[in-house]
Amino acid sequence: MEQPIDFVSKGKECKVLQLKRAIYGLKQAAHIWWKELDQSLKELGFTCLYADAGIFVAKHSDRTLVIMLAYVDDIIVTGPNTSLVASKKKLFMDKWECHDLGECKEFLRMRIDK
Amino acid sequence: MDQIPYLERILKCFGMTNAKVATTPLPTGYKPESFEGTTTSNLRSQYQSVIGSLLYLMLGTQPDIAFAVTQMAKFAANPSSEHLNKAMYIMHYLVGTCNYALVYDSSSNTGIYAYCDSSYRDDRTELDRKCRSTQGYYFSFASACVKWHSKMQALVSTSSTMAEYMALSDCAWYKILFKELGLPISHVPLYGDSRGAIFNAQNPVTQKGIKHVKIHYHYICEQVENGTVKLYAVPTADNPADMFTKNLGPILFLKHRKALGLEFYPPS
Repeated sequence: MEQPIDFVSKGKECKVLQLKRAIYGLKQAAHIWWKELDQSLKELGFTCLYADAGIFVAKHSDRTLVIMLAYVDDIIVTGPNTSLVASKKKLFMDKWECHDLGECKEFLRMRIDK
Repeated sequence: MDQIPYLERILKCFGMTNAKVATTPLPTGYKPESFEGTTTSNLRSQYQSVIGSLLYLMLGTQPDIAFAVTQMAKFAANPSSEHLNKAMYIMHYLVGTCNYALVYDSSSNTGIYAYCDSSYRDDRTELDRKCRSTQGYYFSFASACVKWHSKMQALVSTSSTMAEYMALSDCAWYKILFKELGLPISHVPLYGDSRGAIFNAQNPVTQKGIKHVKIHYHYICEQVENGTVKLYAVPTADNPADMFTKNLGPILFLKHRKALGLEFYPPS
């Protein structure tokens, strides 16, 4: 990339920088984030659905599922077994810095009222 | 589920909060024509911001405006003031749906089913001199809409049977999603109002006459054969997917809207 304004090295003004990792705003950033998320969810036992890449499921030994819906960095974790959902959520939250907003009241500006 | 705070914000943004209410998203039977002249950049950006706001509502929780918005969105590149008027007409309709939400009812015990419909060669725009058809379908689960679609078909259909047939084909992959989510579904009931298309899908032998349709549309035949989809015929008047392919009158429109699970849901 071009050297950012105010951070231009003196005497090397015509040089460009080589990125060692992704930074915010890159065209590739979204894809790299998704690969990272996919990888970390794999480690937690989730697999991405064939039908919809935004849905991940983890199958417990008794065949109950924990379902994770991801939209960039907004995630819903759900499933029939509440304690199983909570334990998977905890594992995920230990890995990523995020807030637990409790019961889902809004997702992508859509209100959900039970 | 609703987007009421978002809806209120866009109505306010376009100064429509107290505007007159329209019963349907577009006037009954209205068919937009493309604009032959050149638009001003001012009008275009205004039109695009109206359509953009409407698109997000339509994708989120308002299947009732799906047809109207996708139809008007075709003119986003070169809109006339008439197109802007009609886009604002959709806003007038939305003023009246401010307290409507998609209401899912798990106690209703209704599983997944789908309706589909298409209208034959209705497109009259400059974009499309090939006379393509519009197709629409929706999936309902727990008595309300979970997925909806209203789109101009990618291929040119040569008969109305074909148009319906193509719409039917597009629906089949949903079975996979439910299978992956571990939900025990034996088949998806799929309702359409074209008996011809249903006949073709159920009787692979008759395919000689329809060889020119792209192979992937024959996927549905396979799905019918192995039982993942079951096809049923319904009269057009009882097919809510009709509202994804044409501008209906108020009586049919309101009836179909109810079938989609959009109900009055007063703020608590």
